Amino acid sequence: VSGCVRLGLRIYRFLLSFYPPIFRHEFGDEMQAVFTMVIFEAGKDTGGRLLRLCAREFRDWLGSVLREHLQERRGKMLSINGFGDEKPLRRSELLAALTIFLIPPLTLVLVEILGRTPQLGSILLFLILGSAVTGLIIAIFRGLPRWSHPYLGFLLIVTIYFSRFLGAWGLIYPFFFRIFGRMDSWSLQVRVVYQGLN
Amino acid sequence: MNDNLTYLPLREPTFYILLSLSPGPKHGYAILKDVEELSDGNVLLGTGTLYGAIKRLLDRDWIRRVNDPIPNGTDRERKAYVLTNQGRRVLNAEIVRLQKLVSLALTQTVEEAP
Repeated sequence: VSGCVRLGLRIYRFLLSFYPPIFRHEFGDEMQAVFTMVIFEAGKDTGGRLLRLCAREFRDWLGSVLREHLQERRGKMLSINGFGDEKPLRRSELLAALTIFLIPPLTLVLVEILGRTPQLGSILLFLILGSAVTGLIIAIFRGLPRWSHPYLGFLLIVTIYFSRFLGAWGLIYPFFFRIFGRMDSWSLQVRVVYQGLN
Repeated sequence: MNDNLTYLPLREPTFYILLSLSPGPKHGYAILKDVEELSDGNVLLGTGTLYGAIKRLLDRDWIRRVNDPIPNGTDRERKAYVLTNQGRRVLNAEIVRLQKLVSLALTQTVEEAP
């Protein structure tokens, strides 16, 4: 059994390397110490207990490695955007955030029920822009909470879209080229942004 | 208090970890064994789940790290974890929620058919 314990410890040390580096650095030693105690305790007992422990740890490892990588990725995204708070949204906040996406399909359903109308486009545009502007006004008064971000994104897209017709890009392009230099030296991300603006 | 309610109901491992830490500081192995004992062997935490939960509890400021009060006989310093006031408030809120559920269930208990 002691040979199995030693092998188990070696495998565990190897498996620990799959955790994200920050997590491993913070908890790796402790995890190894705890696992050592647990496996030595199981090693004193029957081989069956040792096997069950190893199977449980392996199953746990699969889930927790994936979870920690996802959490770290999410944490990075949150910190890039300047939001470190992981508190879940309340139901009312979630509904407020989704409203901007719910209005178009709901309007379509309503129009289908009430009968087709030639002013469908105008009604949709009026409702979406109306809700976006209303949402944004409320959000500004509330200090731009998380639920308001879809509204900001939506209004940004609308602004970019309509600014093309107003000739605003004619003013922006020279600055774009001044910042990013010649087109052949652009990175993929800059090219994507440029194509998006076009 | 309302802020704490947004996290409820707690996941079973989180609840047991907080419950295990409520009497005083404990290190990882003690928490692992305590959770097994408190749950009558129904919740067997793996080390990954345990430390993943500990990381999130530290991030939320529900627990904090302290030096282990019990010497472990080695030179290496062992870390222990202790419940913060915020963590205790969350645990109490969850206990109150569970108590309400149990009370409701007891008042609505249907007798078994013969």
